[in-house]
Amino acid sequence: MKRTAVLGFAVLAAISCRQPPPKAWGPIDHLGTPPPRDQTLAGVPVHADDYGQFLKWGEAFFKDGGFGNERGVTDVLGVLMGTVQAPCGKDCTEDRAVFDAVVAAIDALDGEKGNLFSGNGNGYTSDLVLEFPKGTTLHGIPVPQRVHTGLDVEAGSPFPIGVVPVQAPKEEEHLPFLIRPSETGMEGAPEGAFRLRMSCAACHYSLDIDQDGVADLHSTEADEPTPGSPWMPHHAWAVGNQDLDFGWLVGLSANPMLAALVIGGDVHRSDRDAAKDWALWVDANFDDKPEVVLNRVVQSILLQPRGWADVTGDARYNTIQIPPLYTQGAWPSNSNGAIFDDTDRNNTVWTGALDFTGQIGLCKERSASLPWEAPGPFHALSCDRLVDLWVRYAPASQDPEYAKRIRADILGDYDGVPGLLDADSLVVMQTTASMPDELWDMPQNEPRKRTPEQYGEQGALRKTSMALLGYRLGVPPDFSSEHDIPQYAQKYPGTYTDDFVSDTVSLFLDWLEPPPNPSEWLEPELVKRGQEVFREAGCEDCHAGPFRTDNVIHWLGPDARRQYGGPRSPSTAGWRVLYRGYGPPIGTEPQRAESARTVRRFASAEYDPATGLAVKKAGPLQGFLGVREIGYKTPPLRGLWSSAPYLHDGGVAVALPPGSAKAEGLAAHLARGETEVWPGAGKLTEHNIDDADHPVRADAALSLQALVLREERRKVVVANRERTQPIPGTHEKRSLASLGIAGVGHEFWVDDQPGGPDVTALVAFLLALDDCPGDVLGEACEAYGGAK
Amino acid sequence: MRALLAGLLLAASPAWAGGFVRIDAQRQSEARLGLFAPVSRTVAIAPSVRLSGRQAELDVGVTAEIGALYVTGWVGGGMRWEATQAFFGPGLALAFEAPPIPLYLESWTELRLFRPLGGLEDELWKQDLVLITVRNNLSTGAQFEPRYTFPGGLQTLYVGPRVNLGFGKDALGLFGGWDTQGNGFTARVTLLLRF
Repeated sequence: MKRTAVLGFAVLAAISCRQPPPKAWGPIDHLGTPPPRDQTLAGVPVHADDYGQFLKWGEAFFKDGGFGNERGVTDVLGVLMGTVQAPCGKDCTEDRAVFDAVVAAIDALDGEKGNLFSGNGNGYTSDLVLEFPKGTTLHGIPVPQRVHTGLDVEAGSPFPIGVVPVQAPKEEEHLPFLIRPSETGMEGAPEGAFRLRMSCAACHYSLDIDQDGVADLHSTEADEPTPGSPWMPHHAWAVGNQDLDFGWLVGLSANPMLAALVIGGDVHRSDRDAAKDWALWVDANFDDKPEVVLNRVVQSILLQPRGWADVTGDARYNTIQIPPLYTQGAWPSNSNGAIFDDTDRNNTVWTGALDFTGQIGLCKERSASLPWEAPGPFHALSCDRLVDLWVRYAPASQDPEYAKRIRADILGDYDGVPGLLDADSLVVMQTTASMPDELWDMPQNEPRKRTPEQYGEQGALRKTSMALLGYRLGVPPDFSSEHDIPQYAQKYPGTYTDDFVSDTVSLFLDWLEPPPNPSEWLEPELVKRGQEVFREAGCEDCHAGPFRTDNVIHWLGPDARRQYGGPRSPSTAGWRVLYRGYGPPIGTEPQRAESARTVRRFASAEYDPATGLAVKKAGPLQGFLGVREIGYKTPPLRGLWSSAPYLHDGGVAVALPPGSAKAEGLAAHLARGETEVWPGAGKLTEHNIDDADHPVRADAALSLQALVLREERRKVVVANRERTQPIPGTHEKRSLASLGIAGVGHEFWVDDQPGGPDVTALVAFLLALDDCPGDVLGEACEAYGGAK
Repeated sequence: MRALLAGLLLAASPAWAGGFVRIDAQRQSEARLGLFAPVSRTVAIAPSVRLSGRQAELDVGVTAEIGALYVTGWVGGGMRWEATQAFFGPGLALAFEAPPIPLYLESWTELRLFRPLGGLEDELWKQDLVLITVRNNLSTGAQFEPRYTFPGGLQTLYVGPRVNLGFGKDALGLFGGWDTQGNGFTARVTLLLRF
């Protein structure tokens, strides 16, 4: 009896300590009928009328929503509100407001001045260019005469997509740093003072659908299609804004110090110790030499190449390509798998990435440091010191009394919630140290208090990752009362009022389909053959099912330090295998996965790859005794034709030099000689700095070929290791590989020559995986339920 | 038997099917070939054959991973040449590690039953390793290796330092021990090659 019990326990433990297997899809005809769209909210089926309404709300929140982040974006960061120093004669410089250049640039889109707030002549762009006089500097660093921000502006809009004006309350209109459009003297300019909010759309909407540097749409509004365009407005939704220059966007802000420990870092080193050293250096020099610190911070921020972004709070360069978001049937929600649940992902983005001040939860007193991990940069600083670094030169500091409020608000002492989001739109949870007792116990928090268990069984399992920063999205009060949101939770049991907004955004992202590929190179027989090559090469082992993902995190490789944060003992027990996960190691650039190692191992619940639901909660015991592979998820292969370069780091890039002639067919295009293409991302980023007005983008077909042909990839990897990325303000250069854009790993090859029959067919198939892959064969896609 | 092993391997998921060759070079050197053929994410069939100058043995077992604990249990039988004596019995191998906690434990227990088949005393052999992980390819600590016979009692107990060195996925173990029962010093080099 005893033995049976022991054996039973052993078997149960064995089963329970491992991730469940992925769904066994078997062969799928990717060119056949597409899968039906689930009309669900948080997995709960909803009525068609409600579904349409939820979709609109989700799109609206994704495009314009911010949960009050305008206070952090304007009052602390001062986005697009910085000051540059422009020459004004011999030995003379004058300060110029960046925002004036922004207003002038948008106003000039139609070639006519002064009509910005009265329709702007329907001017639009996919790449807003700010102009500065020759010799202009920013904290001592030269500013190009034409800064290509990559921001998109819709026809008639006075602000870029994802930069949303929000009228300040009457009692705050006196604050000197607020934007007052009426002061421009332009016709139609609204009265009052405004803040700017940043939304998801700044990075994930683009009017340039085919990523060729030219806007394909005038508008993203569903009822404003662009005459003559092969694409509809919704094709611009949630694509990667891949020409966004995240570095200049933040660098030109009034207070780049807010990003010093996120986007910034040591320009010569990217390891974890360097991140801590960087934080200590900033701390040690900020009081005495603020201009030196600002110079170095801006320099490090500008080091990131255009089209890549880094929003991990680790002061290391681990940029990723700004990706499109086609989420249906695909999880975990981020590439390194630390957050697998859609709602938790939305929470993390809004609370930590769209409001950097939320990262106060990472300061020394509010975060844990694990003995074997080099402490993160935030952990090197006390909470008060971190706030001081953020606020001392922020726009808010122009009003000392208000600055005190902002400091208290970031710490949570003002309203009980850390960070600057609108506290009335949030709930609080004490699931991590980020929500200390003294805040939790504040009377204002009584109506906001929640426990994970209030979100059902799944909430209880996701406990540790539900509110990493101590708070979580709720429903903005105005929106809730206007639409009686609580009724929906009653109407659809299994949904939760607090998660409603977040869930509609997830519903919206699940609804999206990639834009159709209009290429004439996708011949039916070629694409059909490509599907066969895809299968024969074993791609379906991981890119499985209709969404071409097994939803599994694939491990980085046998380097134990990367996997566990410490060494692993060499063992002479032969049965102790090195890894028992699914599939071979992915081996792609490790920094992004490493940045989430602690969260993944000790905070992220284990999930079922077949359903995306949590199956076992996280905890120290699970972290040590269970196994959470550190690596990257299998991405769904959707919209590849418009989202080069490839891999999470965007390192697999091959570009055509400017002026290259169009080839006669796909095979000829892929067979271009060595001197006819630029392998690697370095050459194109270098070109795009030197000749920003004529940017070069990665070519999807050539880049896909480099993904699957060993020799072509070798050229890419070698090129990425060349020093091509200038360190701003110096004559030094760094390699893209050292910035985390390496293009290594995913070593699964097709045995062929460039332009050979197999690789040409495979590339054609991959390029055909758009909204309706079967249309190249004349198949219709009604099942997509009116996405067209 | 080869067909059986091949069948087991073929039926296995390619994710971690594999095996190892382990050579213990000492006074009575031994070579061992082990295979594992997964039947689930955490459980595998684990057959092995062993050959030394003293005996030959065939085992069939199951290996499982339970969190940070690796358990392999088997039953088998063989022949001891020197006594022309058949034997059978169970064995259990455990390995525990939870990186980055720098501790590695490994324990082997083997019972060889001779008496039911007539003849020699039954034997219980154990080998326990307690190692500190110094770095990714180096761990060091102590090894305890008692051997009992029944009804004879403790025959030998070797105690001494142990060093494990890693070479990619392969490993080399070095042990030098003194017998508390008066049989002097023994040394052993263990080479493990994984495939």
